[in-house]
Amino acid sequence: MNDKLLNKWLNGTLSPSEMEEMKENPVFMEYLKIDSFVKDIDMPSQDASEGLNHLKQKLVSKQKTKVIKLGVWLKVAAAAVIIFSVGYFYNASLSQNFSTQLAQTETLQLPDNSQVILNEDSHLNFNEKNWNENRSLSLEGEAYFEVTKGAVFDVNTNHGTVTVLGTKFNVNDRNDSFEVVCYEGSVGVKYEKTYLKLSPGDKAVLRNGKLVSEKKHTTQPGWIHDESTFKNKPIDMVLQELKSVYAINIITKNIDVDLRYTGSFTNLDLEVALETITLPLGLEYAIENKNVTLFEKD
Amino acid sequence: MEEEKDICSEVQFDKMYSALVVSLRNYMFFKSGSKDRAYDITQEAFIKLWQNCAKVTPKKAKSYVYTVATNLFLNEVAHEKVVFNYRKETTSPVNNQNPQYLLEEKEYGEKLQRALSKLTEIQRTAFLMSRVEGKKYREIAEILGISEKAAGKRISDALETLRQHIENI
Repeated sequence: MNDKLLNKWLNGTLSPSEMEEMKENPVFMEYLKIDSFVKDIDMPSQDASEGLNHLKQKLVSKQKTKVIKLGVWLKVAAAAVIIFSVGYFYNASLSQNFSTQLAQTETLQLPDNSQVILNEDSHLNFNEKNWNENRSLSLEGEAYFEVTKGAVFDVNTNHGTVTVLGTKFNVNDRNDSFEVVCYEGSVGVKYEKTYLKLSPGDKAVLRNGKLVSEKKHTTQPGWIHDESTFKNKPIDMVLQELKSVYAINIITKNIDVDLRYTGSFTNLDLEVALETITLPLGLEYAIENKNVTLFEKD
Repeated sequence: MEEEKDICSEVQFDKMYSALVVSLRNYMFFKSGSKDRAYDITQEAFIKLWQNCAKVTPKKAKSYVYTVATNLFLNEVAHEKVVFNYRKETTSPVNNQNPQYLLEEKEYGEKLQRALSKLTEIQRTAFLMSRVEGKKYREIAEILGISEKAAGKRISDALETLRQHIENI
């Protein structure tokens, strides 16, 4: 192969007569074939304008970020944001969270020595900072409070707010139910536009979307003494409670759903609890691991 | 003078972009074998040029975008297998009645495709700039930062390597 002519061809300066000479070489004929195929490679777009438009859009958005980098006031603003967020996280770090699992209760001491007993499957959250000036906490689930005298004490729940000064009371806010019982002192309950003031032995309960006041003659809720107490409550509600106290599954077979139950069951022994529920209602039960089946006596 | 205007003027930048983009995009395509990557890398290189428009003189702009693009390529996509496809209608109308011929052409195309994948990136890029884009030795040498003689050597070596690969496949 004549290198000089080959380079001329590759560089596009080969004359027609030189081309004829080259074509006598079979290797060059192969080169020509490679050359013709390679020219058919699927190439990217050979148009510059579209890319330029894209670039302009990108540059516009990049320029905007440039402005943010340079603006003095924005620097100040950015610094302020950072300071605020540090402050926020400092405050947030003072926020206290407590949660209980199924079949677990927890006794908590608040900064002012008020006492809270958190029932199972409940969540309580409050901010330690300025506690003595601002006694406010949020609750999901059920808790019993013994509040020492002091500033206004607020319990915020999904359904409403309970406001007290110094007293003992129980708040139950689960799913659709909302029930507040006052045991000592006085308790204010606010639900939407309704405001009820409870004296010892009163309870406020949500019925058909309305907050109503009822009497309850006990000095403390049953669950504190590991008991669940019911007064003329539908069987369904009783079983729900049983289910969450013992963390079990309950299967019912042919049970009259209109059955109502008055009494209390222990939270310490499942079999004893089942006996106390089933005996007066004329039911029977079977326990299999975590599954309890209830059925009508023959 | 027009030449002395810096690239920070939008008109000047647009001119620069239009003059350089196709060639740079092709170059990146020959290197990477991917249209999308070639496009992205090229755009990125011009964004860098815009951001540094005050520091880069118009004369240096070409080598600037090529250098930036090459570095981006090395960082991102080097060492991947490169496969070039052909445009769909590759056969001329005269020959498309002969199935035997069509089959042979198709097989030859596949052989060449594999042979191209086996070339080194250095050989492949120089070769394709010459054969596909029809660039002269001088221009290729300038882009690659080598002598014209070295460019010619790369191209003719690539051609011979391809021929031998096709024969042996």
